[in-house]
Amino acid sequence: MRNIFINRMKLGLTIASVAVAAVMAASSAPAYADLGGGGTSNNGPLGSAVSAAGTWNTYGVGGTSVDIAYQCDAQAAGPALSTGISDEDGCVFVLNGVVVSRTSGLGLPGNASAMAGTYRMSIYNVQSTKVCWRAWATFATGALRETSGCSNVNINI
Amino acid sequence: MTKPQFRVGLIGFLVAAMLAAPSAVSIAHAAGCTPGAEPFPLCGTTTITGSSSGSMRVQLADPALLWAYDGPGGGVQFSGGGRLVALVIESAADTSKVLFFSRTNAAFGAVRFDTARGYSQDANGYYHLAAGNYILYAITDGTSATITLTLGGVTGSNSLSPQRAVPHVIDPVVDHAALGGNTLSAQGANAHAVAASNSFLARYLHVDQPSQLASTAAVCLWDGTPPPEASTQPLCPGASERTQTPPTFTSQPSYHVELLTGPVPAGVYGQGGYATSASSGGTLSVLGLWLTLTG
Repeated sequence: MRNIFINRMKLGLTIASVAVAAVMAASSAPAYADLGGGGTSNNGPLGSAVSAAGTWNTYGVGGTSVDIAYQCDAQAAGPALSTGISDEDGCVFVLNGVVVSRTSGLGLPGNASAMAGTYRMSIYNVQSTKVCWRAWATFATGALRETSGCSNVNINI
Repeated sequence: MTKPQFRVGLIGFLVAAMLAAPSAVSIAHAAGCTPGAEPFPLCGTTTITGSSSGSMRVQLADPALLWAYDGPGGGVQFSGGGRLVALVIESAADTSKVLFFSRTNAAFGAVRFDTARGYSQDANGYYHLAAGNYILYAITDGTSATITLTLGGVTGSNSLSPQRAVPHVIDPVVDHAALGGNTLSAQGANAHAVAASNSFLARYLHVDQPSQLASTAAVCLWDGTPPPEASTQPLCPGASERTQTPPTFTSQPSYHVELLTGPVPAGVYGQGGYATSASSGGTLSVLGLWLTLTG
């Protein structure tokens, strides 16, 4: 069975506090790794910039699928007027390059925004899994800053 | 940066009837897929080869679909190209709409990073491209590369080569720096200038480590030149953006994160990152791309 590993990354001023325990399925089913951990982001003092990243948890349901909970957090540095997760594939779960789950976008006044979603994924024919995001921020200077990215999701089965 | 070599077919082509779109922009429907003069026709399969980076103007005669699947048979496939190979598709009618496809080589994690601005995938994983003109940017690392672009809704095949140089820098900012051992962290940051406003900054972080090790890493962007400490201390001092990974699990042999920021105005930007590990045996790599879409 192809081994794929779970990884998780979070960006924002707060550290992720959720750690969902894996649920063991029938004795003949593969085991799922617990997830945990988090990260912080600290933008520098150079003004208009926005950072974003995705995080995810898994919780096993059944022997042939994995439930993924993913989240994208955007954080702007400097005097941001608004910060957002893009309406266009702003927070998505990507399987083999294809977006299989997406959230809607969300723009908020101020320096932060976040969106989250879930996806039930078959464990078969999995070549790559990622959480990808697109974020933006507008600033009092009139500047618009955008960033996008992906990080791998490794599921240890 | 050398001007890319190009080959233009001298085969004459037949021009089909002109069709006038409601917006009065006429698009010639060539009877074949022979390149001719720019804008070259985009066909069902377009192969771009070369060892120099560059751009070319192309035209879609009909709306097309580009499948985002990044495995064999997907819409964009890469081979060769050194540390980094990339294809950027920019709409000529609206230069804010960009599709970005890239892949690092095995030494930098063999990571495929695709993203877009102004486009989103449909429910089946397709990007929808309207008929019209586009600019293709093929980026290689000085090594021969082949980029295959497959479009649904368009027939034929052709081979194209870049026509104009595109300003860009590929910099292995951190090249397999050893983690742990006598030093707690590995880090690096380099700065380059982009001369025009339609510029993009991409960075690829990759950590390899044996099992039973744990590390944490971050990839960072500086508006301006990074301070000297960015090359000697972790935590990306002075960075505008820092995207940090969590501590990995002991069964984690590798992890990676890729980011694209832009468009950014002309200026100097630093890219880099760091990783910390209490044990030795792992390596950190950070590859940066500074790219200007010149049209």
